[in-house]
Amino acid sequence: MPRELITIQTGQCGNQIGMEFWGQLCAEHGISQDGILEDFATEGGDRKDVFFYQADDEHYIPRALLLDLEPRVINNILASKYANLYNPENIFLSKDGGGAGNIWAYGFSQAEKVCEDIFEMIDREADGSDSLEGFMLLHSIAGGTGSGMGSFLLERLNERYPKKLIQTYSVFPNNEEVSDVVVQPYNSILTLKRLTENADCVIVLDNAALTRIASDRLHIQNPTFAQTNQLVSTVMSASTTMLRYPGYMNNDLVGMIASLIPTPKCHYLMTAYTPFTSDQVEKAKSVRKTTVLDVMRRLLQPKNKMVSTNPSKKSCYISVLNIIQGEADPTDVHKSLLRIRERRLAQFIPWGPASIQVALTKKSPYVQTSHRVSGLMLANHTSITSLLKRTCDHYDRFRKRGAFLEQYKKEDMFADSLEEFDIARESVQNLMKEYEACESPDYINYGINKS
Amino acid sequence: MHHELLSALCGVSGDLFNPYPPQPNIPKLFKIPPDFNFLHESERDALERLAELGFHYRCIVSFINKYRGINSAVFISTIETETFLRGSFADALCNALDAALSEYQQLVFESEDCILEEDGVIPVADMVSRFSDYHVILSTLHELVDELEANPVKYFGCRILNLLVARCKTGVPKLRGIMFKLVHACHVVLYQYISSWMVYGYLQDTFGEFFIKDESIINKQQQQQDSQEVFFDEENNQKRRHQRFFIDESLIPNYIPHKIADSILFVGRAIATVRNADHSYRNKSMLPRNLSSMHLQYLLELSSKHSFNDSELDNVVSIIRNNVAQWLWQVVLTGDKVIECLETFRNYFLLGQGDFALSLIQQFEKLVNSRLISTRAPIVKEQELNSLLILASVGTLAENDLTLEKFRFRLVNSNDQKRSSTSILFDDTVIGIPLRLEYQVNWPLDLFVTSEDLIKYGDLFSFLMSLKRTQHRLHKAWVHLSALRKSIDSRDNNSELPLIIWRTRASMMFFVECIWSHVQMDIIESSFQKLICQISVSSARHGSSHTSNQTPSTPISTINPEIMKFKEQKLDTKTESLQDFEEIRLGHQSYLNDIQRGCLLESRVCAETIKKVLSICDRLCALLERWDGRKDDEKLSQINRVNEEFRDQVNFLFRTLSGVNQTPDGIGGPPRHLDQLLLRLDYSKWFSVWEN
Repeated sequence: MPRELITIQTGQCGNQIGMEFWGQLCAEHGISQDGILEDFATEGGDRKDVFFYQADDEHYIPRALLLDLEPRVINNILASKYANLYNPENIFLSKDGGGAGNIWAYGFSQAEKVCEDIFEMIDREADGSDSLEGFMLLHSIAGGTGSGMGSFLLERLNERYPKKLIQTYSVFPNNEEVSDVVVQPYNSILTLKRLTENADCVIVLDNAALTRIASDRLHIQNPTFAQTNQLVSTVMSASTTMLRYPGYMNNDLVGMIASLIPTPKCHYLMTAYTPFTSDQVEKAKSVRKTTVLDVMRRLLQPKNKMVSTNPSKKSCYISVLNIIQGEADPTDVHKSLLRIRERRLAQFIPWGPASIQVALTKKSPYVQTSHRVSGLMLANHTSITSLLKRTCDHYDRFRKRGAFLEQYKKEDMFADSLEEFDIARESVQNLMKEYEACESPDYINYGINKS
Repeated sequence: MHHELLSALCGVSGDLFNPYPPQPNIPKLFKIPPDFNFLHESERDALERLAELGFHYRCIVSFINKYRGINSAVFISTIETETFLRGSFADALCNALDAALSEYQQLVFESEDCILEEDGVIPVADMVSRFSDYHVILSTLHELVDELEANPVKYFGCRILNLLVARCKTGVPKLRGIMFKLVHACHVVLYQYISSWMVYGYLQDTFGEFFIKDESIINKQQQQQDSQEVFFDEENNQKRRHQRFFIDESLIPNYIPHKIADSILFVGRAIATVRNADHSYRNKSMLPRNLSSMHLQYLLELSSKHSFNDSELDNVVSIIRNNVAQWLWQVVLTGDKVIECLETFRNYFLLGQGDFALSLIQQFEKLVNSRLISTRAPIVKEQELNSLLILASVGTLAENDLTLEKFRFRLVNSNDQKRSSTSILFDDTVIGIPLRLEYQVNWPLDLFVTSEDLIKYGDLFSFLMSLKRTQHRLHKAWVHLSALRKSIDSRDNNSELPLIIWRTRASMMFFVECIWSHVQMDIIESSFQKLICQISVSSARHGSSHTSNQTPSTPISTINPEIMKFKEQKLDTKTESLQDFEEIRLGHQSYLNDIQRGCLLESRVCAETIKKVLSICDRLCALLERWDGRKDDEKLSQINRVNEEFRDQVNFLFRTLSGVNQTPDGIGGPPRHLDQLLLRLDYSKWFSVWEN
């Protein structure tokens, strides 16, 4: 039975990375821009039905919902070559089309108003699945729609589908640059609370790191969003290869995340990918041929991680999963593991067994790549707190001054008090504390001491 | 007097020479009655000694007359088979004995001529000297026929050769010459069987004397004997037409190595199967005529040789075998088919297709749950399980795979379990009752897959399914716990699930994932790719040799052993690839052994510990599945106990494996596989540092 995943993409960022993601999946499965299976796509060995359903014999339609409060991005998609790929019934545009104005509160309350329409779509998709495994939410935590509407959906999905997994691909804003969204610290904190409490797994995509990778590793000066979004779609497609190309390792989402997330709160995963070549990002320089050891070693290097963190001496891996795609020799895996341990390239938690899990998966036969093997790392690392801390620091500075709060107070949620902000801030604080506790051997008593 | 003596020498008793002891006792020799008192004591002795020859002669002749021609069809059904020596070998022996006796007869006639010429004045001593050679010969032959008659079963068919060859070891040259002739006569028969089998694939064996048997004929005979309504399952017969031939080891002469017998079986079986095949193989795929006539030539040459030499037989058989194997490899079973079959086994027996395995586990879960709820149908039937195979394939890669149809589940009756308990340790973990996956292997794949291989695959399937099932339950427990966590208000600290639950589950998950990835990646996938590579290499080479040289094999004369040696050397240098079915079969066997060792199934302690660990994990899952999220100290203490037990077992396993890994031999299996497992388990030095 296929363990289907429904993808929900919200807001500008969510829909943009969504578009890249579906383009990538179509290429890998040999599906044309119009959803028709290409004549050459006869190799088999892949499972399209996890992400697509078949309308008729040859027609594949993404299990995707495109949601936004303003029409610009979705209209762009509908004007693009992928216009006919999506089910038009799965596209939701707010009637007034004014957007969320980058205000979390507005996005949240708007979503609440159109809740019925959206859940009608979600329910229809869920009914159309044989054995739905869960939802994938694509959004950014900085803007208004992705963060506000996304937060609302996270809460409601939990109530409606309590036993389904919720995985998010959350784009974190670049804290190092001045952003056009001044209120992004507020939006981020409010969203982080929902991500912590209502999601099973959050894949963190740090715009700062994405920009850094594009310029340092691929030598693209001033990368565009489209280029960084291609990095994201590469990561997303690689992280779903285990589901789309079944093999002897785990073939479902839970199998992938259950071992990555030993304790419930610490479910923020960082990613690394190597090698990026011109296949993924146009005009980027190509990288020489790689071996399994090369790939596994590079994945552990900070410069390849898609999150900018400042690890401390105590920072450690809670869990690591390397997904190696391509013609990898299984006997190389052991050698690489051995070398990495000998050179102490990774520190692990002191309160339980941990290791680098490796999964070898197939590569799409329809997408030509210049490298023999490529790898994606999904890692649960305690240094994620440094990213959270930066967000908190920003937030604290704004909050101290009480800056830009008027827009929020316009909504019912914040009309009477700003308590929601404090609750969210506390929630993030607890999360950081727990990650810190993870670095000590008596983490196991963490909850007990607290109460 | 002379007349009496000559008659006696021809085995006819008279007034002078009487059988002794007299009737009704069984006579043992001829004696002169004591009332002939005119004979001197020494004369009496000499005459009686001569007469003894006659007695031996008489017994041998009566043996010949009794058994020669007895095998005409009329007799078969009426004769008690168990107590009677019969068959072509006995026939041939009789003829050879007859020939051997003719010399003796000739001597008797010559003696008569002599006596007549000399007017009857011939001293007894002369006669004694004339016949002196035959004392040893005739008494030995007599003894031989007595032995044969006394043990018709022991020396039935090919087994007669055991006796004859043993009796060849004698220091009397003349006797040895005769024995060689007898042996040769029987070998001619054996070679006839071998040639008709190896060249034409015919098994014309009315008496069941040859060491290769046809099961279907035996069944038919039994059915006829039971005079029951014969219902012959024609389809089944077709399917099994290849496997129906087998070796009856008791009929292989002692001096023929089993390896040769196996080769003989292999060749005939291949030819017979192709000959009997009803479709495409038949016309296109007959063994080329020039090749078969060449083989026949070799065998006839051997058959006509007077002395038997087992190395010559070995030589010829292995030449024929190589030719036939090569021909089969090119025409009937190509490397592609072998690899396809191995891939099927990898996918289903060894759970290479994870999505199908997971789906199957879910179907089993449903089945078990439905049995727990309803009491109406408490017994699980095999049919039901087999329908689950199909059901589970829906929506997976296995959905359109026709090979899946050849797999069957079998419920094992605990009473008829003969195998050691380690190998069946995991049979009952999946649905609670012993269950095994089996595969119907057909021609021509059974050329390299034996039923023992399939049993090993079944063992591995049970083990891997147990692992996968526990893995799946731990995953479900994670989803359950995560759902509970999400439903609880996070600000209420008291209602948060204690981390010990999560950690217990996580460490179990860690253990199971480690074993799983080690077994699947380090052991199975590595060995599998190695095996496939070896087969592909040899397949490619066979292919190229076929195109360059249209005759399947260079005819190698048996006379020239140097060429043979050269060929063997050539074989030795190419150890990397597998040559023919026999080597693929052996390569496949060692692949399975490696996997079994790699899965720690060969070590009783390890296998049992893993089973215990899995059942402890199951207990935790059962506890968690029923946990509704509320604080429950009773359950918490249960979980703590489970955690302790789990840690004890895993630490025990870790120490055991580390200990074994220190010993030079380890527990066998692929090189350094324990190193690999220990590295995965102890990657963060948790077991070696923190747990101590």
